[in-house]
Order: sequence, then structure tokens, then C-alpha cells
Amino acid sequence: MFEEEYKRRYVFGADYGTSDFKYGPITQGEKPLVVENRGYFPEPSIVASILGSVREVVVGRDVPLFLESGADLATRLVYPMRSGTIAKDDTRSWRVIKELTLMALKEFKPGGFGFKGFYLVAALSAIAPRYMYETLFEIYREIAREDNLIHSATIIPQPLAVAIAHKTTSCVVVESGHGNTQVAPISRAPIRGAVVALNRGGSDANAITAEILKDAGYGDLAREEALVRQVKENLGLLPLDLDRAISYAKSNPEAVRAAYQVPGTRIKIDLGEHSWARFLIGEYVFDPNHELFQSYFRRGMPRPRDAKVGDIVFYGMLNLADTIIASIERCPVELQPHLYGQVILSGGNFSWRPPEGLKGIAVDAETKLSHMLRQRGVENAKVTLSPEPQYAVWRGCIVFGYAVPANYQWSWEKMEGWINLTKT
Amino acid sequence: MVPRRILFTRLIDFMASQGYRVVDESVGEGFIRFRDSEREVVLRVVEDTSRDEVLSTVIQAAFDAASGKAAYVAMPIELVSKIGDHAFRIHRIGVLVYDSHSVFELVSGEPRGRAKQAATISREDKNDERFAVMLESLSARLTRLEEAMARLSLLDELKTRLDILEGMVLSQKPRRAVEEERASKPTQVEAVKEHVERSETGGELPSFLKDNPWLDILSGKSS
Repeated sequence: MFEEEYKRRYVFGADYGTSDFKYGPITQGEKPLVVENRGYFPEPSIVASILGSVREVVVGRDVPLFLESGADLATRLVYPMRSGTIAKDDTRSWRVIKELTLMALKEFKPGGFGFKGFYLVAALSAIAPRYMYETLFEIYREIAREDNLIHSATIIPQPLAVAIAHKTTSCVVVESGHGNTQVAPISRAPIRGAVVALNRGGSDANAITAEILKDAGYGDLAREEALVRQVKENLGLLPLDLDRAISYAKSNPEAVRAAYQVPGTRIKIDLGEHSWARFLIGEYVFDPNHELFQSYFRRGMPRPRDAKVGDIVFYGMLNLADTIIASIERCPVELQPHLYGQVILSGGNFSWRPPEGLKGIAVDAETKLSHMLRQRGVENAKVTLSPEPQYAVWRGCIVFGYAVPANYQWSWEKMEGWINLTKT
Repeated sequence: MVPRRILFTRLIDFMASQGYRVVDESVGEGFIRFRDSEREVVLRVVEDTSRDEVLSTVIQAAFDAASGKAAYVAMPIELVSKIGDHAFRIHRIGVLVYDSHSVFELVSGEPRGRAKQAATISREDKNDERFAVMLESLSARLTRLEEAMARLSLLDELKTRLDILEGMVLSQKPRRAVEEERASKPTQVEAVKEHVERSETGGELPSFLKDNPWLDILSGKSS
């Protein structure tokens, strides 16, 4: 039992999200630390070598201090998990993952005697192929060998962690990141064969927002990704029914009209007569099949395509309700009502706030998805939005590491258990 | 104004009262050289209070001081009240002040090398003292650390022995007895629950761990 007591003091969670890396040990409390999931490869300089500050890759809070201006900034700044997966031979992305992990573990390494390394629980996207698990374990093995910071490690799918954090044992987790969306049914364990993925995420909502900005005369601002994201979050609306919402907007233009003042600048964005297009931003996340989107595709906006990574097919144009139904219908019939009874939405793509004056026209994500499922004959669906989606995965990691016995060894067949790294 | 010869005699008398003897003097060039058992003193005399004369005398005195001698300047009292004594104190040039009746010492002159040497010696003494205190403290801490290490090694040794003994006992016991013993011990699930309850009362665990049904499921996993 000594090992169990030790493990409960030194469980460490690491959530490799598409935008942010969330990390910290069990002693961190309710919230993990958060840094951007990115690394910067600075150009080697003579000054840096004279000052003894040569670094191949910079991660964490130091990144802004090293950023240089220049055309090659985009190639030097690497976001390894942007699409949810990393290619096997993408050495720079894997290097960033190793540096981030090292930084996180070192930050919490306790002083004094008795520390034999953390019990590290990492979370990856549900659609991460097996080689990602193998490469990540290899990185952990190197860290354990070089710095004695890891005692044992395991990797779990992010949707499982979300279900654990929500204390729900049978549910469907819909996790939407920057580049894709995963629908994963859980019943006391992930039902791996029933995972369905969409090749659509926050970046696609940004793309349609940029097109709307161009149409409203803000083509110059549409090139700045961070600004487009702000506009999406502040002006974007999610309609209950797109046709009804547009018809309402065209007959009540002032009710839908909104302007956004970019904080700290003189820039004010007023969509004017194009304000009805605010509804397109939310709709595109849930269903990109409306005929209105065709005109954007014809004008050059990329259409979300079907793609295959490993054994998983990522659907481009499938709407969210059909995706959930497809996923649940791959599970035993007896289980299906329990899964519809607990659909958990996780991720910033589901944070839509309906304004007071547009009640019934603009809605939140739970109402929209329930409506879509009802239209398809699913009456008993209960959809909930994760209250703190950014921390749920890390919390799930901590519970997993805390409860799973230290002697439960990793099995490639079940894809769970601990790999003891002190013996390598 | 005091005649120059009389002024020189008064200055020589004053310095003699301080233990110095004359080794050289030049009334024309306005200086007197003295000695005692340790050092040489050069006294330069200012009579004319014009700016050039004062400047020239002070520069020469500064050279004397820089060459390791004790430098003095003798000045009429009215000049001292005009220019003050601050600069002389900083540069360690002694000042003798005279009027028509008497001579007195306003600033004591000291050879620069000697002052520096004295200061260095005093600083070194202080450093030695500080290092001695630090060494003593470090030595005490090291001793305490060594004692703690020894206690930990003993604990490690005891744990290793206990593991060996436990292994020996388990290998000798009949299988059934071992199973019965295991059954009587709390299971992993119970242990986790007990730990959570214990922690809940102590208020250590985060809220997402409390009443979490996954604890039962996950703690029951076995290879």
C-alpha cells in the first residue's frame, strides 16, 4: 500500500489541447496551470551564444520574449496539436511536446528526499493514432532516464477524461477543438469503435467570420487571425433555425445590428446591413449544408473535406446531430437511451450566448443541439454544456491517476494502464 | 602680515611639538620637510592668497600625498574661511592654519598608502570574522544533515529487510492461506474510498474527486 499512498501525492495531469497545454499535480487544487501549446525555434544568433542563452526551442511563458519579427515567424512558431494529431515524422512538433512536458514537470518537482518521479496521466485526442501513444511514451521514457521526473505514465483519450470530470459513467462527449470535433460514447470506458470525428472545428468558424468581414468592407482586418477570433466570439450568433433567423433579421435589421469595438484600439467593426450574417457563424459549426454557404464555397472559402488519419475518417460536411446519432447507433441498442440521456458538450466552440432581445431566434448550444436531435426523432436527449470546459480534461486525468492501481500494467490491447518507467 | 622667517620658525616649532624634526627647508620655495620614526612630512606654505599661488601649492601637496608622503599646507586663517577645508579632508591633505600670533592643525594629514592599507586590513579582518561565522554555521548544518541521512539510510535498510522477510513468508505459506489473508485486507476500491473519505474530512482533496462514481470503476482495474 506504500506505493498507492505515494501515487496519490504525486499524480500529475497533462492535457495536450489543440490551443493550450494544461498541467499540474493533484496538489494544484481545482484548476491546472495553462500555457499555449506551442514552441518557438529561434534563429541561432552570435549574441545569444556569447551570453550563453542558446536555446533550440522555447516554450511556455518565455515564448513572447524570444519572438522576432520577420517573414519566417510563422515557420518558427509551431503549434503541434493544432489538428489534434501530430505526424509521425514531424520532429519539431514532437520536440515542442517534450519541452512542454519537461517544463511542466520541473515546475512542480518537489525538493527533499523521497521523490521518485510523478505518476503522469496524459490526455490525447480520441482520434490520436497508436503511433502517437508510442512516440509520447518514448518521450516520457527519455525524460524519466534523463531527469528522474516520471515514475510511471499512462495516456487516456480526452473525452474519457471529460466524462470522469463530470462524474458521468455513461454519456456521449462532444469535444470540439481548433481543427476538428470528436464524438465519443463512454460507458464505464471509451467505446473506441463508436468514435466519429468531424473535420471541422473552431478554425472553420473563423474562416466564415473572415468572409463576412470581407463582405462588410473589413478585408484588411480579415487577415488577422486573432482579431477574426474576437469578432467571432463577440458578434457570432447561433440560430435555432437559420431560415427563420435570417428572415427576422431582414425585417428587423436594427434588432440584429451590432458593432464591436476592438479593446485598446480605435477600431470599431460595424457589420451594418450585413448583420444578418452573424447567424451564419454559429450555424456553420453545427451544420454547413445550408445553400447560403455554397456561395462562400464558390468564392474560394475552402469546403470542409472528408479526411482519413490512421483508421479514423473525419467527415467534412456531416451535421453535428447526425454525427452524434451515427456514433450512438454504433453502440448496443440497450445502451443508446443512456447515451442520448447525457450528451456533454466540451470546448470553446459551444460557448454561444443569445442576446436578451433575440430570445427564440438566437440560442445556446444545448438548445440548438436538442432541437436538431428532436427534428431527427430523438426526443429524450439531454444536452449539457461543460461548465469549465478548459479544465475538465485535466481534472479527469487527476481522478484517473489517483484511482487506477499502481500495479495495473499498460495493455496495448485495452490501451490503458501504467507503464513503469523506473525499470527502463 | 607675519614676516616669512618668523612664520617658518613658528611652523617648525609646532611640528616639533608633534614629534617631527626638520630634514630640509627652503624659505624661498616655501616648503619645509620633516621626519619622524615612521614617515616623511612635506609642509608647503601659502602666504599670498592669490588664486594661482593657492592652486599651485595645493597641486604640489597633492603630488606629495600621491607619492606616499604626509602632505600639509599652511594657510592664513582668512584664506581657510574663504575656501573651507572639505576638499583637503577628502584628499587627506593636512592643513595648518596660522594668524599673527599662533599656529594650529585644522586637518590631520596622513599618507594615502597607509590609510588605504589600514582600511584594507580592517576590511579583511571583518571578512575573516564573517567567514568564520559562516563556516561555523555551515559546519553545524552539515553535521545535522549527515545525522538525518544516516537515519534515512537506516529506514531504507529496514524496509529492504522487511520486503525480503515478507517475500520469504509469502513463498512459504500455503496458497490458500495467502488468499485468505488477501481477502481479509481491504480491497483497492475500499482503500481508495477510505482515502477519499479521510481526505474529505481533512479538506485536502479537490471537489471533482468527491462523490465521483469513477473512483469505484477505476480503482477496481487489475491486470
